[in-house]
Amino acid sequence: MRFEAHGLRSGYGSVPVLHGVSFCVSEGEIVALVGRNGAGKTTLVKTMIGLLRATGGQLRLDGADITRVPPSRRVRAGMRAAFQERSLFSQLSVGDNLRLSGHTVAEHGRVLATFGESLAGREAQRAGTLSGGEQKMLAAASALASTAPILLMDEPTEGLQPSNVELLGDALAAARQEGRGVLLVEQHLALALRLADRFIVLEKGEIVDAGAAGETGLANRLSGRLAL
Amino acid sequence: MGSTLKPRTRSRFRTAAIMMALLLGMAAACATSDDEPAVAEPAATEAEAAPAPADEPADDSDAAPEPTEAPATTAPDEPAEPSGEPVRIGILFSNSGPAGIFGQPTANIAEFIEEDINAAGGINGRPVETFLADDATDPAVGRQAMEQLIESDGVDVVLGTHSSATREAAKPLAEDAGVLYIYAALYEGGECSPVMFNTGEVPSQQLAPVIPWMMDETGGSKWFLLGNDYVWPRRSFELARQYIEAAGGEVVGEEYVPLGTQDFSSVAQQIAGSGADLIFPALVGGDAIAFETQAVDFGIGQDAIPRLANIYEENVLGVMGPAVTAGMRVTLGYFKEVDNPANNAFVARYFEQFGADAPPHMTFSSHIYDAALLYAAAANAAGTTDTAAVAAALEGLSLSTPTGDISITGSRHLAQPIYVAEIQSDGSQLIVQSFPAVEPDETCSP
Amino acid sequence: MDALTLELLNGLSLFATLAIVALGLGIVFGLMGIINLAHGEFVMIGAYVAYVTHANGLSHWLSLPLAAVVLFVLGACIEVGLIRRIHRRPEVTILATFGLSICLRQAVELIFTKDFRGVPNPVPGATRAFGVLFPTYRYVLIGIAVVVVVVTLLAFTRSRFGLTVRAIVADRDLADASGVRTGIAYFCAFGIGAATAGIAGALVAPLGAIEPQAGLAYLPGAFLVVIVGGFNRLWGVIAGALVVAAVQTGVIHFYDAVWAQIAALALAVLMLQLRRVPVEGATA
Repeated sequence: MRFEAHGLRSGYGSVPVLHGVSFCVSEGEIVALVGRNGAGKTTLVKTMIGLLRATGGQLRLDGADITRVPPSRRVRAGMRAAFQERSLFSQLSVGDNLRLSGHTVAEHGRVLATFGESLAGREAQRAGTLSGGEQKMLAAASALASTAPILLMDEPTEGLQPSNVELLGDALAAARQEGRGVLLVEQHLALALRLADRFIVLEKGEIVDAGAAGETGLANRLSGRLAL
Repeated sequence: MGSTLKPRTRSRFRTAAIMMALLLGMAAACATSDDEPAVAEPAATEAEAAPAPADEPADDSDAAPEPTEAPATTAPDEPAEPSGEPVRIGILFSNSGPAGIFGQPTANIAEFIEEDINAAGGINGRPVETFLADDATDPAVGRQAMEQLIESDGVDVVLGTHSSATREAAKPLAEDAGVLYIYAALYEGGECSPVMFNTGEVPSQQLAPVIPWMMDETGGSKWFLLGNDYVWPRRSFELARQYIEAAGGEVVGEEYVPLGTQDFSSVAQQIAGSGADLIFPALVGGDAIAFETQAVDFGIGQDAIPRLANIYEENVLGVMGPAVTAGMRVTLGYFKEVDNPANNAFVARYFEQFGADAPPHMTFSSHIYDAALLYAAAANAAGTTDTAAVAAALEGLSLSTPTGDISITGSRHLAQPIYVAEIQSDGSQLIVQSFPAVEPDETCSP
Repeated sequence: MDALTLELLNGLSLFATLAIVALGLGIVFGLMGIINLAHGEFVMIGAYVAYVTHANGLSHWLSLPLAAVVLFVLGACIEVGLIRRIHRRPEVTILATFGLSICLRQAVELIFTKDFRGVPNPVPGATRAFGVLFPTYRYVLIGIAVVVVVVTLLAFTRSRFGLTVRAIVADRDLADASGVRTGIAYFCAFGIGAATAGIAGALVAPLGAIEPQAGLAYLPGAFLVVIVGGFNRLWGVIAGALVVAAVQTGVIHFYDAVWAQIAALALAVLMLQLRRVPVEGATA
């Protein structure tokens, strides 16, 4: 399955944020999206999943135009997002969050174990009472445990302990191994460099650079883009 | 950017449009509370075969004796066709809200008022025109409606059939403007004002002759009094207690329930346990229906404990159904079943004009009709529509109407016939007793 | 002893009536945070469905599912046409549903006039049980009301559908992005709330008068139950109905119906003081 954006424009109300962004995510690859705060990364993720309306350009999933398709149908068609903020229903229990993400009760234990023991057995707890890091882990685990071929991960490592960042990296690599395509939004270059097959750099709503893993001087170029 | 704006703006417009639509709906709902002038036909070219008010004073000094085009009426002298500036008769009534159910017959009868008074020569040679105003069963709205009748419509007299609460709210406006105000609804009594006459039944009229009759008729003597909690049932029960005790009976229970009560199970049990053999229910509208339909299943229906009701009217009785109502007695100043030639013709004409399934003519509309005839007769006698002069002419005035013989008493109330109807097994009402010229137990000297 | 049994049965039938009348209001308010001032009109229209069913010579029992269907459709249309566009602004929903209640009353009045209507009791008479005679229809009413209330509440709290609705209330965007069909779920929730009101209306129809204004009498009782039971707990409808019924029946027994009404209002004021109504629409 292949996700494509062609000349995508989007924004909040009357404030445009993305000014014509084109890229693609194919199966079996991890595409890292990097950029400074305010570059439009989260806007891009929300527009891809359909929470924000594209005001121009086109989105395609396996060749089909999904630009005007509501989020629930994009999810059913095979896309899945883990958001940077408000990634869980904080008023609902951990178990209810997993049920809403489409996991059967039998799968809950396996999903909760993705990041070791810290979430195990906490299904009855209200999601809002988890720590910030635990909430991110749960959201990431839930997306990874779905069968969606296209995953959108918006800064999943933010607030995670280093050991859990490693586990997340392993899980993402495993997802690629299964043939899933991942868009990984990361400010954390080390993880991106370790995992990603390709890179896109977003700045002020436009793609200003792109590259593939293994290109010489890539790490320096990216650091330069992210530095002030 | 422009295209970003579009969907939001549009949805905001849509929301605004919906809100507007709702407001319009509300306005439409309120519009019925504004006056709906009945079709004004000053020249009564279509007078019906019904008898014109018989006791019209013969000497219409202002009216030029002119041949009329009106078809024959049964009046001995062909009255002159009225002309000139109409006399404006305001009718303040409840056409919406809980009492709105009584509105339509009154609105219908307003047409008869114009037709009949004009056919009889109008008032001092002038035609009459009616102006209707709805109080929506709400005193605040009633006050506004009264203001509209007096200020905008410039009425010469207001005839009212509405709650006492509306009367209290609207009366000061009539007093300040010096406009005659004839309150024609059945009420608790005690009203006394220089601009007011009260022609509806008061509890003393409905009860004094009927309570002893009821005890004779049924052999019962232990009464349970059940009413809605406001002044009219309370005043009715206060008097009922006197008449019951005077007739050798006793009151074994007196209960009040709030207006809008839906569950009567506890009350039903109190009645069942009281040993009562007669029930006097002073309940209105939906409360009456809820009580009576529930009472049957609790074993205290009319079969077990006979009712004497003083407000149960046709619509309410019809909903209860003959299985519940058969045998109940109702005491009121008018039923459409009142059997005299004038009333039979009047009722036939009513259904002919407004359709066989029109809301039936009943005591409220009948009293408004009589009030209009009383006013016309008094204004003709006085030769003017001046409030003080008409008021003076009203005192002691007697008329014969489809209701029967009525006369204004010194207490500014109405001596009138009181009828008792018994509900038959097919749901119809049969007049089983009538008391002519029952005097109200009222005092008033404004 | 018999008197006490009767009062208990009275209280029980009052409880059942209050619970089923308040159920839809509780669902719509508790789940969607919408104060629906047209709820009483939904009950009133349910009663008219019972009247029309009777007028066509059909069994009263048929009117219960019919009222549910009619009100579900009406509620769903109102959700799509009105509520959906304004549900994020509680003050606007109050105004809009107030306007809606007037429109519904007027519409019913146009169709049926202001006249009182009635439905005959399908099971007249009383049944002897627990040593007392108690109206048969009230036993039926208690049974049906309790089943409808419990099944509906279970559907909302235990089922996937109920979870979906709670998720939408909690975070509509996240629910969208989780693949939930938010539009359908909302409209079903509002429709089911209206449908239970319709069943309530048809169920109480044989016990009283049916008229366009009847809804106004149901709304205060339903709000009282929701206030006493708690705004954001669905099962609070049962607790609220229980408390209100107990207080009313008790006060009627020892004093009278007028004091019972005063006591019920005092109870509402007290609960509001204790609970401190949430300013934002409540969520599950």
